[in-house]
Amino acid sequence: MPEIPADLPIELQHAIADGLLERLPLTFLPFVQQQLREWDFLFPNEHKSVQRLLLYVASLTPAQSAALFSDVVQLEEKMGVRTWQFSTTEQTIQNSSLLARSPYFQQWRQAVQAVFNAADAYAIRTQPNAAATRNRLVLLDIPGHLPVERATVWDRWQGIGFAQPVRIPDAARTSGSLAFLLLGEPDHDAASSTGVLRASQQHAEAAPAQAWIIDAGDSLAQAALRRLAGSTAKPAPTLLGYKELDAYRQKFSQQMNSMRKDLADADAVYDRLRSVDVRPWCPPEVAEPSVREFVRSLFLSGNGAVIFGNSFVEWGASEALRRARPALLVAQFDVRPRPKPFTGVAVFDNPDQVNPLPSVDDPQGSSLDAQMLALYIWLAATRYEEYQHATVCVCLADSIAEAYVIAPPEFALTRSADPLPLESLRHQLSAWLA
Amino acid sequence: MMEDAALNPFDPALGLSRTRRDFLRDAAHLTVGGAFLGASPLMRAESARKKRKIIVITFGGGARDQETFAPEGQENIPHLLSELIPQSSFFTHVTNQGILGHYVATASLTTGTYETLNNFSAVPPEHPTIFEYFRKDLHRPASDAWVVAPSNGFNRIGESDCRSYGQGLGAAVILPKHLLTAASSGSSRDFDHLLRDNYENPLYTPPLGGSEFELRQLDQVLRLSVDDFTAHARTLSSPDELSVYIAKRLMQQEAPSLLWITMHDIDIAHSGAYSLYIDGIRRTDRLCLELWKAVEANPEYAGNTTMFILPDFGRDSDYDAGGNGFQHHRTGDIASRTTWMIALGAGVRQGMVFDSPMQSVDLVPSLGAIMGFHPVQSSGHPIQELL
Repeated sequence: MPEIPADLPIELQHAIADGLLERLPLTFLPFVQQQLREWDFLFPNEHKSVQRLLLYVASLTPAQSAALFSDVVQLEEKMGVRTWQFSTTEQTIQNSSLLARSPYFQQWRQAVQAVFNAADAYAIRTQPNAAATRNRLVLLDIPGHLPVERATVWDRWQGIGFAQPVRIPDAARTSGSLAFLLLGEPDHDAASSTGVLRASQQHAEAAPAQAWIIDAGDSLAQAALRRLAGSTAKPAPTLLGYKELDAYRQKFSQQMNSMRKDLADADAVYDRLRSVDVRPWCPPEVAEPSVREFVRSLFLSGNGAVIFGNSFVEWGASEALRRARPALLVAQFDVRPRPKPFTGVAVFDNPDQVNPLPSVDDPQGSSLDAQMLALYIWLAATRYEEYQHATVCVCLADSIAEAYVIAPPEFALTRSADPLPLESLRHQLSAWLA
Repeated sequence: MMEDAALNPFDPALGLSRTRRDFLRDAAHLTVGGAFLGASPLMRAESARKKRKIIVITFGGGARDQETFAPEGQENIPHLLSELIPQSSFFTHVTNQGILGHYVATASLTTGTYETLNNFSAVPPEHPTIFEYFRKDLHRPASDAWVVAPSNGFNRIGESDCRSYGQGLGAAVILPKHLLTAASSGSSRDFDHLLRDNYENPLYTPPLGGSEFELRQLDQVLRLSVDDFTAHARTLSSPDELSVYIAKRLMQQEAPSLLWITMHDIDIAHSGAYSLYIDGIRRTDRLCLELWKAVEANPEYAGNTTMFILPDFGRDSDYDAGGNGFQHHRTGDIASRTTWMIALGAGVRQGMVFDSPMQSVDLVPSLGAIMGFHPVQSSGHPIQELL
């Protein structure tokens, strides 16, 4: 019997003490045990999700739970999971590799998904309000220094929304359009702000991890930090700035590169990086344990988050949507340097250390990255029920003063050939969130 | 079409291959072929077989249709479209039913069997490779089969651990980046990072094992001094350019009958930089043409060489919830499993498009039928349109 973490909800503690985990298939154990052990590092949405699954299983008779898992268990038998060196305490690279190498992998994925679907259906039956959803906003920005082609910039969105010209006021030209929408007039303080962040904070269901701001550079993060300094408005947004995290990234990369040479396999490196004390490298806004560990998982994920700001933004936003389901997600892209000869292969190296040639920005390439990754953030949102109805997505392209808008019919904005003042857009987005 | 009638019309993979076919028919004025066209010029007399040379290029890293053969992707492959495909047979519907990791998938291509080895380990394929069949059945020397591969993990791809084949019967493997690192050691750390070249799992670089092509062989085999090699490397911009440079050198010095080149630049996609992924596709497109031109310019190869170009697999679609679009190949969806193949050169019917479904493991039996060896442990089947 594994030790039961004391900070779990009491009903979950009771269910585990009553043998709940013994009713789970082998391939569920790494995920569940890791989630329970890392309870303090999870976001409220993840707490709900784990509880939903486990309390559903606990509500079943042994025969019912055996029926629920029968497909998974049968597939585990066919796969020979019991003969594998398969960790049941945590998710490992070896576990993933063993599963992926099985010819039954796709069937196993479907069977697992069916279990989660059943748990979700149970939650909706027993807690009808659990599915209720507030209005949400995904706000993205391709800043002005990343050039886009007006004729083609929105082609990838395949007509799911509409392009709306916007008029950017002088006040927004210094702070940036996105900061203007998010934080309001530059000369206002946090309390009198008319930005969408303030609107989200004033919502009756405002809660921690419900507003995320992710910046590939530092302008938006810095503006937000200045505005939030001394502010008593709660809850504070989760703020991740790629450049603010420079020290974290570089120390993490150094650890990764120095370890790789003397460890036996990827899991050994992975374990070591999971246990490295990253607290000294965290800026204050990333000190909260769940956010600190969120960043660690981003850097460990192998998605380029540790080397390219725009990859960090896209993957960070996608993971925030998956794990935290925020009501407000704001993401700004930025320029990345052009890869130096051969350093393109060194995904975890600092190119400036590898090659002494000066860095040269790649605005065209960065813009192409941003255009694709902005769409990916929206696609990531649409995978979850919370964002499939009452969600507005606005993607700004500053260089052409245009916004791409995806919105349900209830949203007040309609397409117009006339440029929409940014103040009006801000007002409508704030009203939507409030 | 005869072969279409046998297919499931609701198969999404079929839609992908039809898109490729329709595009090629319109853009390159190619002919859509049936399965029964009479004997291929590939099947010639025994004497011609002995001179036959085969080059296989894996369009490495996995590339999707929308960045290659779909209308919006065609600008990325101008050389394939305008120069190579008009003289090729193009196979629109190649599926990979195996594990979608680059080493294991490439190993499967070389054995003609879906290998199940750990993608991130330094182990040889379980089944005999094409190099072993080729050398054992045709009594060819070691110098007649070579692999140029991108990263440490591929060092074991030249020969299997199959008892009846295996050690001493495979191909020598050259890892150009590793050579470059070795060439630079002692004098400079400029290239030290090149060993960390695994985009799929940056946490781990497998140790080298097997019969390593060593630095001293640069001079013995490639007739290349270390200084010239490193000096030339500094003029290149990518690892695949270095691989092609080495491959061309091999063709000049050793003229192997069986040369396998695995490209890998495209896999930069794992870093999430879409523009660099596109750059990789464009570079690979250019390098494929460069290699073909090297074939045509080399008397040992001109006129008797058949070149095959194919991705090891695709990449995830934008819409599969289990992935992150172009970045990875983790979902096993249609886009990640369905690719294409180009065959051109000696004995290939020019300007043909074939829709018949084939699997990537069919390549080795097809090459066996062309060259006259017998890949007895392969699970694939010879591609009739090549015979």
